[in-house]
Amino acid sequence: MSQQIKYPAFFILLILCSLNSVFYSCTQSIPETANAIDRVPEIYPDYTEITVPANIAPLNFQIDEEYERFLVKFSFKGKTLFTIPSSDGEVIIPAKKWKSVLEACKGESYSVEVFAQKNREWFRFSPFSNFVADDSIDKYLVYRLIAPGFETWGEMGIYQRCLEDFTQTPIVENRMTGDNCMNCHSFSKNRSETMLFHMRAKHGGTVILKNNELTKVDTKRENTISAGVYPSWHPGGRLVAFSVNNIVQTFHAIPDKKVEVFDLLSDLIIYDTEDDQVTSGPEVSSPDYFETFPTWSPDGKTLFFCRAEALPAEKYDEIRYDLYKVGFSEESKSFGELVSVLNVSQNRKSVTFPRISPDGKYLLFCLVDYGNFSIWHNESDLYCLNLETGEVSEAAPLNSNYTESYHSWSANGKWVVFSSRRSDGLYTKPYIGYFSDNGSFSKPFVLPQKKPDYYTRFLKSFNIPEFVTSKVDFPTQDFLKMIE
Amino acid sequence: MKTNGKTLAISALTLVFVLHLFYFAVLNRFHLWNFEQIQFFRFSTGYFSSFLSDPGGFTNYIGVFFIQFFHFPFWGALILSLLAVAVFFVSRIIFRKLRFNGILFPLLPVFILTIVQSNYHYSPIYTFHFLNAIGAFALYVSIQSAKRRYAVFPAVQIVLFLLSGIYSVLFLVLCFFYELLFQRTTLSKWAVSVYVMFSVVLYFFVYRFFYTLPFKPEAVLPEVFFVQPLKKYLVALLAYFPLMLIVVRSISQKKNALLARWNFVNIAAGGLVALLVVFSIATRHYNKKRELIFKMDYNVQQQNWDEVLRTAQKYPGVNQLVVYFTNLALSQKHELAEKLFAYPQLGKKGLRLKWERNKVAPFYGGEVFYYLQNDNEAFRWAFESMVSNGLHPRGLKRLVNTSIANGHLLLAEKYLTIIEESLFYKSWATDKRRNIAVLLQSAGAKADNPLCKISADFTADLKEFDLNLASLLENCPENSTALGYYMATLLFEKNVREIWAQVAARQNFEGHEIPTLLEEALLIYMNNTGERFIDGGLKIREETYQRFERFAMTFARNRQQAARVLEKDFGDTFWYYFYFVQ
Repeated sequence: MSQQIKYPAFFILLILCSLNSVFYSCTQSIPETANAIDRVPEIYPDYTEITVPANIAPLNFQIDEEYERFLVKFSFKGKTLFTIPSSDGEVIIPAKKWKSVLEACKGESYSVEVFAQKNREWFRFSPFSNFVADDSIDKYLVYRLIAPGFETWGEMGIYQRCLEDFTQTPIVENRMTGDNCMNCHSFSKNRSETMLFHMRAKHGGTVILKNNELTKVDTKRENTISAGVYPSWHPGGRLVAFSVNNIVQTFHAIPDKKVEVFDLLSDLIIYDTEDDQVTSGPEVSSPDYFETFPTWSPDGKTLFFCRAEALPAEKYDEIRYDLYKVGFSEESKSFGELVSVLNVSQNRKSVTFPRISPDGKYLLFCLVDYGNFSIWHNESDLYCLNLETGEVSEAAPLNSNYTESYHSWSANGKWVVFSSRRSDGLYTKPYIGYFSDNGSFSKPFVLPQKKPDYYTRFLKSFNIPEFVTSKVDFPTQDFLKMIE
Repeated sequence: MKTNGKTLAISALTLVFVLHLFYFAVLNRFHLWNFEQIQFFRFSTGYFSSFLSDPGGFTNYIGVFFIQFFHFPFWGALILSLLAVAVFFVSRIIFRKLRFNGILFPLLPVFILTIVQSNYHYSPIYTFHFLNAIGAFALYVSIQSAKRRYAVFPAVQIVLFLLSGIYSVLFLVLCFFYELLFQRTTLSKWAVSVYVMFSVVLYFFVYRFFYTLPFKPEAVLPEVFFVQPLKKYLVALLAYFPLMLIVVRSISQKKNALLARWNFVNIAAGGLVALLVVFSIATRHYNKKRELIFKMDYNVQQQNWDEVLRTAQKYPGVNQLVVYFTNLALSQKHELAEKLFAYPQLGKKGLRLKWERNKVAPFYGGEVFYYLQNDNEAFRWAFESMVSNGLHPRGLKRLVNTSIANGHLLLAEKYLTIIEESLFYKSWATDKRRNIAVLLQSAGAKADNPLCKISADFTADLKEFDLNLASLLENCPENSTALGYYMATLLFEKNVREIWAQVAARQNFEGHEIPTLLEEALLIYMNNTGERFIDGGLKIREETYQRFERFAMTFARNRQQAARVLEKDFGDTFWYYFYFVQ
């Protein structure tokens, strides 16, 4: 009998608690009196004073302050849009409310004010505001998720993340391919229809997706150093410039350096995806120089790349790359005159990962003390070269004391995404920054996740973040057939 | 007679399972502990969901959940024995449904499982899968109505496939034989055809479209099926029930039931099989050497160096891992230059493991770098071992300790967050987090042991057996582990000139007597070159001089047989190594 009474009582209590919670969350009013705290609250990720695209997923965050409960107010032009209560500091913004903020504030800023309660007393932190840019961001971000290992690899995959929500779907994972290594995914002009990536070891080769057809090719030729490594699609979508490298690595002993990856040999080749032909030229494959990281100008008439004097392995810390360009004829697949664009080696610096904005006016690159594998260089920072004026400026708001490395432009050239190790020194995360018309960058923000503490437990690096304008429709079944 | 038979059966079973428990709890204690060391169970939704991307992931999760309790090997043995009991009872249910009595036949799978479980490649998780498959079949044969069985099959097959992946093939095969051999109706023949077609389609579509995996043996079968010594036993285990169905069917055509009663012949036959299994396990499957290695590893983790050395003495033969652990223990007891040759050696190959992209080298190989305070290398080896094999507690702890030593406190906190999700390492992580909080409060304090922090960079040698000892000593002359290993390297290289120089540079040798093996090396050097110490700060013990004279006299008297004659009294000396070991 007592059992029969207990259970309904328990459920009633449960329902009351739930209703209370719903009621509380809907009607929590802003405290009339609150002690002002003259600073913005500590939040993770740092989504304060940033510029966001008008189509980004909710910027959920965690308030890292020691209080009993919180109330977060979102407002625009002094008018409260909505509030979100939180007992543990986790602020999850409902998608609809978030969308209304972005729509309402396009081209202007919204404000966020955090109230916190302790011992029945309310406190109010200084508000922070974020600017909603008119410019939207490409809908998808493609990256490889991989443990930032040194020699071995385990589970990895290439994934696409919808930037308008939190959906992440695999394009290809190495559990499909006998746990091999896959890398260097690349797209032509941010278009998801034209893609390639490499597979190493088992099922080795370069997988090319083009015109809804999947092929696997071997780009190694008798006279080339290796199969194609670092790719860049020609804007025409037929040719791909690859570096071909003999890459080695060694490991440092001092705390702030870990790995050194460098080339013993390095050239550039042009691969024709339609006739499987490989061409090159002395301008881009000199035995006296290491040529690497090719990148095309938007018109496809110029190939930019990094070039360094070829030095032996023991002088790895003296290998410094300058930026060069060479004219290119798509018809004859021949190169023009070699031109030095940026000579930084004379200042004991080295250029890596040059990427040109879609309008062809700017070139974003990494600057390191030596070498080309900037992801393992703490000093690696992003710099911007104005190709019209030749002026170089540090992309200061994007940089930190840790590595900033691989980067790419959105299709409209208003956003850049780059890898940074700033949060813990090892695991790279994608940060997104706004590039304004006057050629300056705004403070970047980390790719938002549904759970604000997602990154604190995540033990993989986001590798090679690349924007694409639409979802990659990867023919998984064709790929599996290819593997079988 | 019936009561006596039942008592006898219960007694026999109790004895079998007590022996099973004893075998794992006592003789495989460290083997079980090792299982816990190579995985890391976490109480988090993210960890759980990571299992669901592969067929059988749920049971893998359950298996890893139980394996975390192998932290205490007795619990591990108890879990294995309970699993064995479960396998026995499920087998017994199946045999009883087939009207096939007796305890020996349900025990045979338990015996095979005991054999395979003796191999360190065989994870107890596979037993969970096996149990699921035969459990599903026990459920199937328990259903009297044929139509209900036919109706239940697809549901059970789908659930079983999700729970245990390709192990559901066993269920399919058993149902197939059961229907064909024991039902033998037209409908049952149709049913098994449908079963097979349904299962093939299920496997193909679920693999290809749900799990997006290629449908081929190496992608479908568990890794253990490719381990050569285990392969035949696993095949035997999986083939056992289908074969027994055929056997039972053929016998039941002649008799109503087999081994229904207890009699002398049956007991003797059962006893004989049990004895054969015990004999087979003891002589062929129990790996005492591996148990000793795991025991050494356990004591290395506990920093119980005396026990490491005691275990090393029990190890028959020479094993690189044993030598490596032995030398690590000697170094931590500051006895490398005293007792190096008192244990089997492999030259410099016994000082560190060669880097190899496998499960063993990165797992064990980082220890020496940690004690050498080469934190980057210790971090790297721990990290690498977890990249290819998944997280494990010692690796995570090592990442925390080396990150703290390197001043990478944010990184250390990240790993602590992961460790805090575990059951048995949570308190360790909480303590470490407190340490970090203290370090963060004291401005500038970065490392646990700033004394030997590496400030002058050098690069690691990947391919060979170099430990970068000279560079470590240049960075920190007080690094006593590096000094011990350096001296051991010089002894192995028979580089008496450098030993002389090193000892001369450390006039009073850290305030202690010159270690015996170095004295022996110095005597060779002095004997060969005629050099003597100049300022008299160093003194070779009189006893060493006397022993050297005895060695030299015996050597001179019988050069042909010297190696054999001298081995007994001088086999653990540098002199013996110098003159007779290549």
